[in-house]
Amino acid sequence: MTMKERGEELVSLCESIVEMCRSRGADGAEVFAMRERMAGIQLERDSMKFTSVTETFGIALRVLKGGRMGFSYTNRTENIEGLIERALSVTRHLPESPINFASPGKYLREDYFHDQRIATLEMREGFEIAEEVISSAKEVSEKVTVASGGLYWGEDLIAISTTEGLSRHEVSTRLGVYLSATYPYGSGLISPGYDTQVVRFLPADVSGVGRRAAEYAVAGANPKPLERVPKKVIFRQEAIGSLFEFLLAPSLYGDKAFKGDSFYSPAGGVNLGDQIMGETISIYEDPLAREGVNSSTMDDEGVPSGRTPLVKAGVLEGYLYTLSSAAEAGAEPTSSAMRAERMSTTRNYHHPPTTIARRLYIDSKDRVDDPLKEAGEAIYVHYILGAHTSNASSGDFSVSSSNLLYVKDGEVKYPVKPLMLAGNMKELMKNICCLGGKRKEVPGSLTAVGLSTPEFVVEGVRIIT
Amino acid sequence: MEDKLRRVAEKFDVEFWDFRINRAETTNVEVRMGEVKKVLSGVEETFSVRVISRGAWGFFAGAQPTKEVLKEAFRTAVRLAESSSVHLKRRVNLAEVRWERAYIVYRPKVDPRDVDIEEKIDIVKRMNTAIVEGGLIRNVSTSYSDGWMRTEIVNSEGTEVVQEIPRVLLQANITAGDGGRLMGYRTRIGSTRGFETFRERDPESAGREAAEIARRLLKAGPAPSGELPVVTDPELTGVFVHEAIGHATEADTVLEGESVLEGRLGEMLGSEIVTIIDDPSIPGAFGSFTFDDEGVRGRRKALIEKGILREFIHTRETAGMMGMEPNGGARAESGHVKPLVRMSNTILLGGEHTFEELIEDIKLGIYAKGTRGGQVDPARGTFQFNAQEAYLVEKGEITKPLKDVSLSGSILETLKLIDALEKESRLGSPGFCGKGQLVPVGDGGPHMRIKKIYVGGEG
Repeated sequence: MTMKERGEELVSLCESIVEMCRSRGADGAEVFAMRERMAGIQLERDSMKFTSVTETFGIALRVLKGGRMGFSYTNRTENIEGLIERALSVTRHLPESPINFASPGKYLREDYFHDQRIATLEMREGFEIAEEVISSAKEVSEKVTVASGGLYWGEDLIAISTTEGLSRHEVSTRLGVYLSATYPYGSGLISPGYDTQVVRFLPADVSGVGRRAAEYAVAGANPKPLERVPKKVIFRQEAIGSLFEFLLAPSLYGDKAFKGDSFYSPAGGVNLGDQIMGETISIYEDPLAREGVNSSTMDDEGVPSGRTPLVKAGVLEGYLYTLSSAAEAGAEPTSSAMRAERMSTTRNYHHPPTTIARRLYIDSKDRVDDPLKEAGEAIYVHYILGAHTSNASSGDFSVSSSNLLYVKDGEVKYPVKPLMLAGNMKELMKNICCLGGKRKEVPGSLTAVGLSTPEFVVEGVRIIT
Repeated sequence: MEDKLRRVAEKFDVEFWDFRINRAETTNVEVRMGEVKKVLSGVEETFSVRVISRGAWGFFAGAQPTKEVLKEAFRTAVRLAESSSVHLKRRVNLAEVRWERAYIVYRPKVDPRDVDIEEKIDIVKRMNTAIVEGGLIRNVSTSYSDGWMRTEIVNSEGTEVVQEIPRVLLQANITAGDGGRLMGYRTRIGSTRGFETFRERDPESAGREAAEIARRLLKAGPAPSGELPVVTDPELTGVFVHEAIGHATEADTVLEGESVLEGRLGEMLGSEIVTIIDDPSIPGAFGSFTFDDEGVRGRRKALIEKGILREFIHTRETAGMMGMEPNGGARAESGHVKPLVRMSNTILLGGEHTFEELIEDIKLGIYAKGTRGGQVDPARGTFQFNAQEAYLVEKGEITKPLKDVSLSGSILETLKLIDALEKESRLGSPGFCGKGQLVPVGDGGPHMRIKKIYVGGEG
């Protein structure tokens, strides 16, 4: 069966369920179905460890009856009657919903994010990639061990059909490489280093992942206590990305702002049009970029993907919306619906669509090639522990980091022992010195958020030693 | 299923196979600021086949295991194992266990599947209303979820285990606000029992208490920072043992060379008052089970006993690789993923003191309660966790409320700095642990005093 035929088959299943819903008295219906096949190779201590193939299939249904919306899911095609009955039966308990399911829009091709080379990558080629990752890490130092890591690749097929006339599918690919390397030092101590990359199209910089993880591990060995507390902090893309994942991104979700649960909302003392960060900073949602980890031609409600300005020259311009949060707030949907659990990095049909930043793009006019040189004296932060424990309502964070470097005169002087960093996201965004020149696509560490960010040089973050 | 499965499996010449199928029935209700926002239910069945062939693993996971799908699942898993065997540096070695035949059902007093959806909605609404009524609440989302998990495990050694476990969870996420100041607070009630859980712990009073704390936090001042003595409540103690100790004792992390506890079994790591167990047999606890996801009977494990590192948590594979006994620590989020080494209910046992005795000697310190979670870097042996609520302790007295206190330290150093424990050890709130897969866990302990630990406050 060709890719197109498989897509059409899934759309046809969705359409037939929509029709069944109509015949059982639903005023409106939206059927979302997904089929995914992912292959994986796991590594442990410089060796292959585990190989897998995982096939996922599931259907999610939303129905409207009397203006009230019910939801149900299943992964059993013989259970469609039960699926519809469950969704319809709960509608009476819900208040009227202002939502209209998606109508057809203008979309890019359904295979715009599909790379046939990834879809047909064989396990043998996967082993070659894995070997390349290991050898590139070992090239940095023979003492480096590839402690754990691996790669996964495959194809996602999603289909959606609504009573508003939308019926379409999309097929896409992804390949992810992740690695944790360790470097021994002292008496039985180890320094870890991590790196990851997710691509939608080949080639992937797999040797770069191995090399960088190993380099970070080597660079962190023999850490010393901080002798002098600098004023500036340089966040590597992954480090600032994890703070953005749990603080900045949710603060720009329309439903949170509408409910007063965001520090960038009237409840937090901020209104649209307010200057909330430096004039050089702009933020927008751009889920159509080919390199985005969650990019797609439509969101999980079938809304065509589009670019949404959120902060322009430091001024708050807008929020991200799903169909229902947009209807509730009297705004337009921004193609920001994903079906994912709150603490899960992957799409899942179990959950109704929720607002998630699919590719939050952070940019600045003040970008420099060498942020270390620009910072002069600073702490360079590779990773953060505990960003998810931050206070998302107030924006306060107090996190720990164990991969740190002391930078002086634009050069790394020595690795630093673990310490804590505390601050507030609202304040951090007002105290940006500059952004680095090198951008990275950062997948969410614990959630499905996707980000594109350079390194950040900031002031005003407390370094607790 | 067993006969069909064995007929398919016997056609493949492999060293080992197992099959796991998981059926999950779930219901979720969410109420926000008095309005029902979500009522949903679903049924899902997922399965997986693992084989060992030529010393290597092969794994296939899917849905709807018809006979044809099962054949293809085995074929794929065998092909994967055989193709990867030439790339292995170490052959898989599973520790031996006795085969098991059992059908275990955790029968609740009030089966959540028999409770009308109206009653479920009502309980969530009542909790929501109780939270809002005291004022200053900008947003509150209360949600209820229940799940009935049926897991069947069959393997080539004769094990046939079926286990059915219910779980119920009620939680509130509160945002209190005053002027431009916002503070968040979360509370949870849950168990591996039934709806009787909410008759034993009244959701409305739990909601009122949580709302009161959220309002109090609006007046909280900045916490001091630096190294200070800290007393943690049972919930935060639980997060400490989970994050700081539990993860580092997971044998897969140890085998990867990413645990600071590697090679330290039998070593005195902490003060003599520290005994930490992981126990899946605690009735009603959120992380409880009888058999793990390899069909191995779970048992209480003394991870640290009187300060000495005694045991790691194992799957059959990690036990085999380390030449140790399996202890039922293999858990999977669903039938769709492979079992990993996971904790169950991780608890610090009680000591000899009263709470007042823990506080009275502190000149300047922190009393930290509740948690928004934590994280560990087991390789370097550092951890971070965050309290939801905290107070300054001055000259042995609890004084001002503090906001956003987070604690960080070194596992090995902190274990030696625990110098006093309250007598009674209690379970904290139910939780979920992420390690690529989310599994329900419990943790807890007594009030615990740490002589000094890094406090990340504003002051």
